[in-house]
Amino acid sequence: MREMLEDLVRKFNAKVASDPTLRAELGDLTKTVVIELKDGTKYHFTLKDQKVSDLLDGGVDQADITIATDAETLRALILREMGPFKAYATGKLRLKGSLEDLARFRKFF
Amino acid sequence: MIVGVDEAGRGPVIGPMVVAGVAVDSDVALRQLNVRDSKKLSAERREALAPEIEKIVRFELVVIPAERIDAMRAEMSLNDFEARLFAEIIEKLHPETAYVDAADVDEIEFKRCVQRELPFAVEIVSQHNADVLFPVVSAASILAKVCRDREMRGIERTFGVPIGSGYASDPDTISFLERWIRETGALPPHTRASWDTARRLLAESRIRKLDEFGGD
Repeated sequence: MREMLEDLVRKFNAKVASDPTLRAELGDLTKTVVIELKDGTKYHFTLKDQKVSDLLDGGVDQADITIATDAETLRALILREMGPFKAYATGKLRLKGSLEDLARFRKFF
Repeated sequence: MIVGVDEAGRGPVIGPMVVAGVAVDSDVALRQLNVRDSKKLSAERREALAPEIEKIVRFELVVIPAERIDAMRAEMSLNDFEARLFAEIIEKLHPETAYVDAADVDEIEFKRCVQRELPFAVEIVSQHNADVLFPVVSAASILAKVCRDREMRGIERTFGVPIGSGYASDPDTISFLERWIRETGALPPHTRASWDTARRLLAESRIRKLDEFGGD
């Protein structure tokens, strides 16, 4: 899962670097995202200055978005086999933070 | 490829909402099946058509339980939520054209909401009564309705008493809710607590209890 998330971050940063429209859309958006998997694994990363930081192990106290889900759902979300609204609507994803933020964030990937 | 998207159970106070997307290269086979708006077909006819439709299409069904509808409504309108779910279904089925039954009174606004969420260009045809006008939406409407009916029967089995269709206009649904609230002082599971009907019935029950407490 870590590799998959790291790949996602790399792709995101490359996309931002090459897409001025996306950079404009991101503006000064700053968000810290925590991912909590059902097996207890936690990761977090921060979007700041139009760049996502390295993926770090563990959670943080002041996250803007906390996504709690299982590895299978997270994989489906990353591969775009499932959208966040479906995951949320069917109870496969629990969220602390705004659903709008989650949707906005995912659109960039 | 074309896709049709529709929902069943947007309005009821009990039970899930189901959103269905149906994808086909051509709607000829659906026309041959004589699919029509699910509301104009008997439950038996819908049940018979559903497996026939499933054989000839790709489809996606999303069942949204009542408690998730309540949670989501705290964050956004039902129209916005529906538009986003429709978009995710369209994204997954990846058609050239998508026909959607417009949830908003403003068909164009609903189309914009769906389109805004999509990461690729799709022609969106957003119309009221799309389930009557386009066989691919009729098919989605049938799959959604059959799925919701099955969910409702499952819920009814867990209660062991009739709960009706789940709509506030159904006397069986209302008498089930009234009885449950009278006996437990709370709403039954699978009830949309954010619905006016649920709130009103709860409030009326509490007022009755106060009257009994202070009565002659």
